[in-house]
Amino acid sequence: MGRTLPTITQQLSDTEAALVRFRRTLRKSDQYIFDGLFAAARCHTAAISQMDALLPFEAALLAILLEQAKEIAILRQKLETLDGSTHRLAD
Amino acid sequence: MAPLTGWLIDLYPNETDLALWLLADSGERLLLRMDFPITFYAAGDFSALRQAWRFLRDKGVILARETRRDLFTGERTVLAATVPRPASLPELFAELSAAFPALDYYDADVPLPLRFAARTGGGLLGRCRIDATGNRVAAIEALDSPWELDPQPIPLRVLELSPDVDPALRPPGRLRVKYGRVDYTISLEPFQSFEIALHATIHQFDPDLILSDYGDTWLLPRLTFNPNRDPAKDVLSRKAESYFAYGQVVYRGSQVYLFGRWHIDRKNAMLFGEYGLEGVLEQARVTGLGVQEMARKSPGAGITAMQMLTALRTGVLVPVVKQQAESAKTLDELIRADKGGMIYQPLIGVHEHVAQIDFASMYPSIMVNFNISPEKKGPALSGATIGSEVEGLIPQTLRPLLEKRLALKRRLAELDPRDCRAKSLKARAAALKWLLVVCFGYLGYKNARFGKIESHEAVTSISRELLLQAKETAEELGFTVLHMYIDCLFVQKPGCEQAADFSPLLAAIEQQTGIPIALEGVYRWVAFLPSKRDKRIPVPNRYFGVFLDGEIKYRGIELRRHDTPPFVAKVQLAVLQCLAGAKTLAQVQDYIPKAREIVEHSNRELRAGRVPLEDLVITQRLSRDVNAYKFPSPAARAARQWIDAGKSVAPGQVMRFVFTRGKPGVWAAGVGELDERTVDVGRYIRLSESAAGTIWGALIELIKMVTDGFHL
Amino acid sequence: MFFQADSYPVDMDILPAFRSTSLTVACAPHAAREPVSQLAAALALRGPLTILDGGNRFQPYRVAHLLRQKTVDVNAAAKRIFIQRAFTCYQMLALLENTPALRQPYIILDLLATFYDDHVPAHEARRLLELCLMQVERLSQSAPVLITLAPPITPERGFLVDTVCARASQILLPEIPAQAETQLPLFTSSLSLSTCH
Repeated sequence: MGRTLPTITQQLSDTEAALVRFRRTLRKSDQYIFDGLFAAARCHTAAISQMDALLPFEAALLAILLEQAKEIAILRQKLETLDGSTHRLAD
Repeated sequence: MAPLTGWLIDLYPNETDLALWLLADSGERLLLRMDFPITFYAAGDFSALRQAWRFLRDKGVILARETRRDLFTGERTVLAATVPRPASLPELFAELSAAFPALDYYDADVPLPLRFAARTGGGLLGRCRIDATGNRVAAIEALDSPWELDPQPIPLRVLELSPDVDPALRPPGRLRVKYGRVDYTISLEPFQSFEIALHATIHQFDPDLILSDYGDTWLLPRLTFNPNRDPAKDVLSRKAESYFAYGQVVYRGSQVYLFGRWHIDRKNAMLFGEYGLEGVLEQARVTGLGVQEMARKSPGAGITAMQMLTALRTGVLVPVVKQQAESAKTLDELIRADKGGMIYQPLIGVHEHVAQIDFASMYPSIMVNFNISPEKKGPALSGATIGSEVEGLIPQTLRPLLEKRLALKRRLAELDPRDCRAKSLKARAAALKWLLVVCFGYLGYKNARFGKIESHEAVTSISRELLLQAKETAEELGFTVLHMYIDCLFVQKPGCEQAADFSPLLAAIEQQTGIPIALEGVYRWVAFLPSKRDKRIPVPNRYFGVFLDGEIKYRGIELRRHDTPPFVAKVQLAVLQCLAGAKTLAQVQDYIPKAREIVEHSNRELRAGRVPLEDLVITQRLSRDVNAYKFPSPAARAARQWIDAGKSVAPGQVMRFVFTRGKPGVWAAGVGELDERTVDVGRYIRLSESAAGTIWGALIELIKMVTDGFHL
Repeated sequence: MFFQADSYPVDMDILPAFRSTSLTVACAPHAAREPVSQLAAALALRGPLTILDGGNRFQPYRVAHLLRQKTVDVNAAAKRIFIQRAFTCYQMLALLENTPALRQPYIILDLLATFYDDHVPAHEARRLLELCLMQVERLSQSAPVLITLAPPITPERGFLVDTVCARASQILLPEIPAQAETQLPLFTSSLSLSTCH
C-alpha cells in the first residue's frame, strides 16, 4: 500500500528543490556551506520524523542548529586543548 | 481392509469428487477418492438473496439459511450453498456472482487443500491414517501437525532434469537426468527419440517430484506425452503474465503443474535459491497450500492461506473481496500515523568493536505480543500487553509460526555447525522467516482480506517506540548507538570487544521491550558509507564490515544489487575479503596494495578474454513497455533486440545482456551468438574499479576522517 | 516558507466555481492535486471538510504549508480536514457508503484511480462506479462535492471518465496559458471553467 506522507528525506529534498534559485545565486564557496546545512538536517531525519510536525522544516532548522552547536562545542574543546598545550609550552 | 497410513502428497478435484494421493508406508503411491461437498456463503440485500436462492436451487445446490461471523461486522445471516462436486464450484460461483454482483460472498475462493485441512485436521505433506473401502475414503485421521519440529521425513522419489545450457542463451543439446546415484544425459535430437527416452525414464523411476531447470518455460510445454501420475488429468499450464504489484511491474513466466506428482522449476520458483527444497516443503506444510503452489507463489500467498485456515477453523467467514476501508483521520493524525519503521541515520565513518543487535521477527512479534489484528480497535501503544482480550485472527495465525521458527533457531544454535542436520534446519528456519517477513506487509496490503491500514500503522508505531526504548537502554548502560534500521541497532562502548561483553545490554533491552533479541555479531570494524553526492550526508543501511570470526557483511553496495554483473560483484567481494584480513583498522592500509593487485589481475583476465561470458551478463528488469522509454535503458535496448529477433517481451520481464562497443551498446542474451571481440571491456573495467573503490576508497577516506576529525 | 518545486501558480482557484454548484468534476494530470491542496487549505480556514482519496494524491505537508501562509493556528485548521483513503474500488465504494451526508464540503481525489486497475473487469468497474455515483449524488444534496480525475492509463477505461462527467453540474479542465510569462509545462497549467452544462 502506497504511503501518502513523504518521508522526511523526501521532504528535505523537496525543500532543497524549492530553494534552487536561492542556492544558485550564492557564491560557489557559500553553496558548499549551504549544502552542509541540509546535510546537517539529514543527520537527524529520525528526530524530525518523530516530531510528527505539520511543518517539518521547523524541526529541520532545529537539527541544523544542533549540528552547529555541536561543532562549536568540538571547536571549543580543541581550543582549550590547544590553550592547555601553549600554556605548557610557555611554562 | 486394514487402515492405510502414510503421507498425503496431492489432492485435487476430479469429475465427481476429490482425488487424494497417499504415499503409503508400504511404499505404494495410492490414488484414493473421497466425497467432498463444498459450502460457500452469500449475504446482503434480502430480495437479491431470495433470487440467488432460486437461481441456485435450479442448479441442484443444497441451500440453507445460517448465521455466521464476519470478522469485521460480526454475526450475519447468510445463504449457505453446498455443492456436492468440488470441481463445479469455480464455474458456478462465476455465474452466480455475475448474476448477483451486489451480494457479499464468502468462502467461495478458498483453495481446496485449505478446506481439506480445516475439515479433516490433516493436510498436504502431513501423515494420516485412512479407512478406505476399495479406493474410496471412509474416514481420515491426521497423525501429525505442521508444527512438529521433527516430522518423519517423506521418502520422496526425486527426479532431476536439467538442460546443458540456459535455453535463453543457446538451444540446449542434451538433458541431464539425475535420480539418486543414477546420472546420465539424453540427447535432445532427434526430438521424437528424446521424448521416448524421457517418457521411459519417468515411467521407470515413477518420481514424486520432478525437479527441473527451465521445466516451466522450456521443457514441459514441449512434451507431447502426459508426464502426470494420474493419467486421467492433463497437465495444468498457466500462461506468462505481467501484472502490477508492490509498486512495480512483475513478470511471471509460464508454469506447468502436474497431478499425482509435483513439478518444481528451480529457475522459476520464488526464493528457491534462498532455502531450497527443504524450505519449500516446510512452507508448503505450514501454509497447507501444497508444494507446487508454494514453490511458485510469493510468501504473501502463503500467509494469506494461513489466515484463511485460521478463519475456517474458528468459524470466521473468508470474504471474497476486501471492503474494509480506512477510518477518517484528520490531517495531523495522518501525519502522525502514516510512517514506516525507525531509520536512525548512522554516524559516517569506520568504527571498531561494534555490535549489531537484531530484534528477532520484530513486526510479527509485535503483532502477537500486542494482539494487533484488523478486527481489534485501538491497539494499546503504551507498551501494556493485552492479557485478557481474545487473541485476534492475525496473532492466532502467527504465534505457532513464530514459536516454531524460534525453536528451530534454538536447536540450530545448540548444534555443531558441521552437523549434517544443520543445513536442513537452517533452510526450514529461513523458509519460516520469509513467511513472517511478509505477514507485516500483508496487514496493510490493499487486497489482503484480513488487512487493515490502522493495524499496519500500529505495528510501525510500536516498532519505533521499541527502538527508542532500546536506544535509551543502551545509552543508560554507556553505549553509543551508531545506527538503527527498522529492527536492528549498532552499538559501541569502549572496552566491549567480545560477544559476551554485550550480553548485559541484550538482556536489558529484551527485559525493557519484551521482544526477543539476538546478537547478529561483533564487528572488528564496520564502515558506514556516506552519500555519493555529498560526503557529509549519511545513508541508512549502506555499510560493510568484518565480524570477529572473519565473516564479512555488507548492505547497500554494488554486491547487493541484482543488476551488477557477476564479474564486478566478484571483484568487489574479493577486495572486501582481502581487506577483511586486517585485524584492526590500523592494518587496513597494509592490505590495500594486495587489493589493488586483485583488481589489476581481474582486468588482465578480462582483456585477455578469459572471463566467462556468464560473468559479464547483466540482469535487469524491464520497468515498463519497451515503447514507453524516452531514453531506452540498456535493458530496453536488449528488449528491442529480442523483439527484432521475433521474440515477445513483456513489461516486468527480466532482460539479460552484455555491454558491447558501438551501437546499440548491448547484446541481448539469446539473440544469435555474441562476437566476444565486441565486448565493451573498458566499461566493465570502469564498473569493477568503481565497485572496488566503493570499498577501499571509502575506507581510506573514512579512516582519515577519524584521524582528522569531521566537520560540516 | 517556500513553494514546492512543482508548484502551480497560486492565483488559480477552484473555490468560486466549487461553491456555486453541487457536483464539480475536475479532470487534470495528477488528478489536480495541487489545486486541491489549495482548495483544501482555503476551505479548512472556514470549517470542516472531508477528503476521500482514491489515488494516494493527497499532499499532507503541502496543505499544512499552505495553511501556514494563511493562519498562525495551523493545528486548529488541520483538525478540520478529515481524510480517508481507498486503495481498491471496493474500498472506495465502502468509503462513500459510510460517509454521512453533512453540511460540509467533500473532495473526492482521483476517484477513478482504483477503477483503472486492469485486475478489475470493465463491467465490474462500471457497476461499482454507478454505485459510487449514487452515493456521490446523496452527498451532493447536502453539500458541494468536487471530484477530481486523472486521465485513464489505457484508452479502454475512458468510458469511466465519461460516466463521471455525465453527472457533473460543471466540468473543469486544465487551461493551457497563452501568456508568454507563464509558459510552463502542461502540468503547471491552471484549471479554469471550460464547459458547463
